[in-house]
Amino acid sequence: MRAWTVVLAAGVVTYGLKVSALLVLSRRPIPDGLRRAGAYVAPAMMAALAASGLAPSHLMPNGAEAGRLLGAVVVTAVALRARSMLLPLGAGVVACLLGGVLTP
Amino acid sequence: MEVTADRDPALAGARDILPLLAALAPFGMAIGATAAAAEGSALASWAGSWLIYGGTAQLVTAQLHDAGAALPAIALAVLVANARLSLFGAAMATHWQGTSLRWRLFAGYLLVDPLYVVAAAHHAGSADPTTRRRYYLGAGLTMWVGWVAANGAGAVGGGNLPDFFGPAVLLPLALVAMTLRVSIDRPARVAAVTAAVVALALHGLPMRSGLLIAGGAGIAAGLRAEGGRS
Repeated sequence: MRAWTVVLAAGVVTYGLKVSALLVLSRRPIPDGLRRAGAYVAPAMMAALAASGLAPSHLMPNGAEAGRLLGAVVVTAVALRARSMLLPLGAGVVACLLGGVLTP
Repeated sequence: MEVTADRDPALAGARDILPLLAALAPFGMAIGATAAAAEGSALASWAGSWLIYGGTAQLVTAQLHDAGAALPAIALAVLVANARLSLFGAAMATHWQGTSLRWRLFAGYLLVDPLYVVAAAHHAGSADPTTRRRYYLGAGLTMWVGWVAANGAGAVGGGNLPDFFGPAVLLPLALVAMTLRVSIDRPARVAAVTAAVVALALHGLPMRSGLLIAGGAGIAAGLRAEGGRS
């Protein structure tokens, strides 16, 4: 029963975060500064999440650190040239696997 | 950034988000397995995938529940870890001016990181409200179905996935790809690099609270770079 209560509470909090700004801002003029700032939410937050995810972690399986970094480098290199995300991700996964295997 | 050109915007949205879904599905399976073990119920774990519908929140909830944390502490941790979702909502609100309450309530429910990435890029190049809605629904429902299915598979199948598919390995690669997808001009790249540097510097802060600070620093740097460009 506690599991369901916890899941429901987390769901309410998450949903509130998602819709709060939508409810407040979609029916009134949006200040120009906020509109301009909105363009940088995605690059800033995604980069913060990516950097945080690439930082050393206790969750990291042994020997996979080098593979993960190699994978990130390959994703970056390929994504700068490819239009779709499929190719960079695929290449990154392969590099990650190879890097993990080759690392003692 | 290039988005898929398609006669049906819903199909284009589904097609654009599929690579991200493919990269994140193993993460969803891992979350399903982790939550099932932590919460002691595969059904509650799976329900979290659509009641919470947000990978970070699901993971934080499962980990803190497993550690025996009190309900207010879990709610606070979810609030801090997912505060970025309110920023995504604010950014999407700039594209959804004048839309119905029903649309905002439903579209807001679907809003998660990968959907925000593809939809923000699409909406920036498409002014037609109907096209925007169809694209968002195509991408959003594809992501939702895939995520709920992946969580269910993980909850039922247990933690049999190799470590490679855990949140520490595959997820950062998807995040790097998403970052590059949305860093389309110089100010956006300045925002991304600044946020990444600050996030690394603040990595040790509790409840991932450094992420919000990093995001704010990145946005400020982007605005500053934009000013320097004009």
